[in-house]
Order: sequence, then structure tokens, then C-alpha cells
Amino acid sequence: MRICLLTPSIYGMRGDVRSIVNLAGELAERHEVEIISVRRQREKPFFPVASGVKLSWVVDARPGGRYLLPRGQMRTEVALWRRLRGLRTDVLVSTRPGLGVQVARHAPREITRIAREWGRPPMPGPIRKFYPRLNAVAAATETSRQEWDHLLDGNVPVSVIPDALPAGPWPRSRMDNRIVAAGGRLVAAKAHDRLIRAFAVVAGKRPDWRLRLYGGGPEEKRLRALVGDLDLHNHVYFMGTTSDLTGEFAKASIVASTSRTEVLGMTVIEAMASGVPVIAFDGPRGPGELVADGRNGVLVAEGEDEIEAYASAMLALIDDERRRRQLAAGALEVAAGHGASSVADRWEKLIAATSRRA
Amino acid sequence: MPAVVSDAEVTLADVLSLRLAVDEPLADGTELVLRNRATSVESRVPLGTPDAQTRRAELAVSLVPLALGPGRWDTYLQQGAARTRLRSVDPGFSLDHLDAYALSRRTLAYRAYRTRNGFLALKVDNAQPTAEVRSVWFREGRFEVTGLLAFTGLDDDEARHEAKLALRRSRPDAELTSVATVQGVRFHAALSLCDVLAAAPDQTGTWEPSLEVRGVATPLRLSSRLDDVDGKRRRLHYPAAQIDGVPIRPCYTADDELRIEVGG
Repeated sequence: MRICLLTPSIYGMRGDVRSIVNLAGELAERHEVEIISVRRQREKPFFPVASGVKLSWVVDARPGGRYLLPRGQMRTEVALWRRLRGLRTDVLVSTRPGLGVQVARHAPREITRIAREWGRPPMPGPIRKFYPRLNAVAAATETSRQEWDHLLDGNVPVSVIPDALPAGPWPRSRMDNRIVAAGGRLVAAKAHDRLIRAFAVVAGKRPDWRLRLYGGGPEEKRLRALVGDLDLHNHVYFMGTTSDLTGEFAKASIVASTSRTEVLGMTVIEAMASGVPVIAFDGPRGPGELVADGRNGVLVAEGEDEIEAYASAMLALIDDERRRRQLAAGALEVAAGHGASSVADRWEKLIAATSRRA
Repeated sequence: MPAVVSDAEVTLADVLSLRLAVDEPLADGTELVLRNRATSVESRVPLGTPDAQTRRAELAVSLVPLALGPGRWDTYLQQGAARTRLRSVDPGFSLDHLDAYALSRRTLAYRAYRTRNGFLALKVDNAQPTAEVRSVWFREGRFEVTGLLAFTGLDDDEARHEAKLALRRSRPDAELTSVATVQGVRFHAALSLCDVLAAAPDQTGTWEPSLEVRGVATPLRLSSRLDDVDGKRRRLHYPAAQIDGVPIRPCYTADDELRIEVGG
């Protein structure tokens, strides 16, 4: 079977890109898989892509290129339309609502068309109008499934398929380094400032613990200034980006996530796979969907005194190695459900069921 | 013959200790191959007669007789003509163990680690006595540094050693010293920043700190290498202090040695 995954770009460093690369790598063991990026901004993808996966792109946006036509949205849309019209494949999976709408409008009907969704529906009008032409929607979490089901009113079957981890074996933490790690782009939505403020409390009481931040982004300068203001320059390491986040998490004893909204939570899943407990804020759309408080991680309520509450949760876990190990065991059980082969099986079942219906 | 390392560590006696999970029991005549990544030089270690039944194997390989040079060495298992690179799920070291490893006097330091692609590798470095920096502070007009002495052979006890912190610069040449505290292998040193400015007035430049400890032959350079974080110049930014309007900032060189930059 030939499967195409349509994504805005496979070249960046994001959780959804990691998830798509993992899924494509596993599906390529059994099928012919191609990842189509709408835009190509770099020479090589940030995350290593399995050798069996074919990469292609619609618009070349690498810096330094010279093009006949001007760049811009119109050119991209026309190029995407042409690509979709002429696409020869059995299954086409779109990974953004915007792309899902284009697939519903322009991709040939004989192709099994599936939309992969992480967040809530961003633009109800076009989705209600065009999504019924798709064969299925695959949501990443149960909350997201309910929202999409509600919006689409039963016109398209919506199912839940979790994100895939890379093929194992996954690295395993020994829990003996005094390190708290956090991964993710340094952007405002990830609220790393809350983590740094909470870690200031921890560093005051347990000065031999260190915080390692993995990732890069526009907030880096501001966060470095905050680290300077709080006198944490010996404690907080800006580790930069890495393509092996699970390996780096395996060197830590705790993984912290302070996102305001974490629609995807790929770093949370990767932390669990490394056998490290996660401390996160319990928001309505946060990592709470993946973390069960007291079983495989710790959830802290948002609101007033959230920084103090987060710091005391970290300190409690730092001081209790036995509890850390218990939570890590629970985390590994959750991670098993995200194994690449079991996720790929669920995709195959969904594809088989939708093509039968079609 | 896929093999996954579930535990890897270089012990204090420079023995590479591995715990392996193998799909098929290891055959007689299996060798552990260490291959230098840069020069492709190989070193082979026969593994003796393994238990034919077991799917778990424990290996202990003494590294000193292999005469491995500095660099990174990849690990393989070779059975006849078939060669498998060893996958690893273990980070390969713990930071506390690295501190304990650095207590002895050594000329070569070995460290097992997991590569970014998930394979076991060995890092071999030239080891010379150094002062490993753990914290740097600018407080009350002084530069303060704490850390521990590495590869000096001193014992980690309560014994105090006479020591001084020296700061040197060239063009124009200048030197400053102050008394430092060394207890066991832990050190603490401080220096007035006003003295630093007064030693080379109106001159921008970089000062090289070093620690001179009685009982250790050479002056110890201040560096930070006893962990897995390379490139601290980029990853750790220390804040600058302003003395009489001149900014003074500690920073690391490309090979993780501490410097103090004045002005600029």
C-alpha cells in the first residue's frame, strides 16, 4: 500500500514533526511511505528520517534560492492544488486542519483521505463544510476526539490514535543524576519562565541540583536574562536543540513541563519512555491527558501560588527517590501504549476500516 | 545477533563493565571490537567461553592493556564474519561516579556513553590534574569560584592544603594572587575585582585563572569537563559585574576552560 503524509514542513524541530517521523518510519517497514512537506526550508530534516521513507516537497523555501515566481501564500496554494490533483497514492493523511480542508477539496476521491488532528478545531466554518468529504479523522487524545466529533456531528468517523514513539529500545534513566530536564521550543506558550522561577526555589534548598533546558526559540534571550536576574547562572543550562531528546531525558531524574496548553505532549511521552517521572501543570488541555497524578507523574494545580506549589512538588520528588522510581515504573507502562508498532497497527486498522466503508 | 547493553560503566579500575541482552546466546570465539571513529584503528578482545544457554551476558574488559589512544571508540560484537554494533539503553555514566573516578591520579580518562543514535561508545581523554569548576559568583565586588580538584591523587578527606589562586594575563603581562581554601579535594577561592582592574589599568583583555596547591606539582587550570556537557561557552552565560564602569565577565573557552574577560 502507498501512504502519503502531508505536513506543512518536516524540516523543523517540533513535537508533531517528531511524531510524524516516528510513524512514517514504522509504517515504512510494511508499506511504501512518502512525506510531502508543503514548504522545504532546510537541506535536511532536523530529526533523522528512516531510510525507507521518501521525502518530497511542494514549495522550495530554502534560503538563497532564486525563483521565477514570487514567493507567498498564493503560489503555495496553487502548487499544493496541482500536487493534490495529480497525486497517485492509496492513502493520504493530512496533519493540519488547513491542509485537511485542501485535501478534502482537491485530492482525488478514490484516495482514502484521513485528517490527523491534535488540537481543537480552529476554524469551524470550512471544517464543517469540507471535512465530511474526508474518510476519517484521527485525533490524538480523547478530549480532542470529543471536540471533533461534536463539531462534525457524526458526518465523519472520528477515532483516537496516540502519537508514536521511535522504534525501541528506548534509553532508560538510572535516576542517579541530580538533574531536572525540560524539552521544547523556547516560546511563550511553553512558559519556561514559570519553570525557572520554580527552580529558583529548588536551587535555594537543594543547591546541587541542575536544570537543563533543551530546545531553542525566540524566548531564549529573555529566559537567559531571567536566569541572570534570579542568580541561577550556575544552575540552569541552556542545552540547545537535540535530535535525541529521550537520550538526554534518560540522564535526568525528573522531567518538568510547565506549558500553558500542551496539545501534543510529545516531550511528555518521550520522558515517560525514558523512565523518568513528569511534573506538569494540570490545565484543561495540558499534559493532564497523558499524566495520571500519583501513578506516572505529578500534576500541580494552576492558579495563585502556582510557582510555589510547583516548586514544592519538585522538592517532594527530589527528596523521595523511592516515589520517583514508582512513578517511573508507571510512566513506562503508559509509554508502552505509544510503541511505534502498536500505533502503526492502529493506523492500519483505521485505514482498512475506512477503505471498506468507501 | 542483535545485542542491547542494559548497563555500561567504566569502573574506578578502568574496567569496562557491560551487561548485555542478546537474542541468541553468544557463540564461542565472540570478540568485542573497539573501533576508533577518526582513525579506524581497531582493538579486539576475545570474550572467553560464554555460557551457551543464557541470553544475558556480563562482560568485564580491562581497558589499560588495550592501549587505546584518545578519541571516541565505537563498540561492536564480532562472531565469525558477522559484526553487530552494540545498541545501548543506558546513558553509560553517572555524574557522581565521574567525580569519584577523577579522585585518582590518571593519564587517560575513560568514559562509556550512549551516542545520539543509541549505540554504546567509549570516550578516551588525556587526563591531567585540573581544578573542576562547579560554581562561579560575583559577590560584593569579588570573583568567587568553588569546585573540586580532579586527577590530582589527593584524598577526599577533611585535610586542608595550602593553596593560592593566580590570575595571569599577557600583553601587558600581569599577575595577581590570593589565598585559596582547599579541603580534601574541594576548593574555594576569591579575588577582589578592584585588584584585577588595578593590575592592568585601562586595558581590556582576558585573564587566565589557575590554582596552585601544595603537594601538586603543576598549577591547576580551572575548567569544567567532568560531565557530558561540551561547549559551556554557549550553554552557560555568566552575568557581568560592573566595576568603575568596566564590565567584567567570567566565560569559558571553546575547550571549556574558565577565563575572566575585562572590558569589551
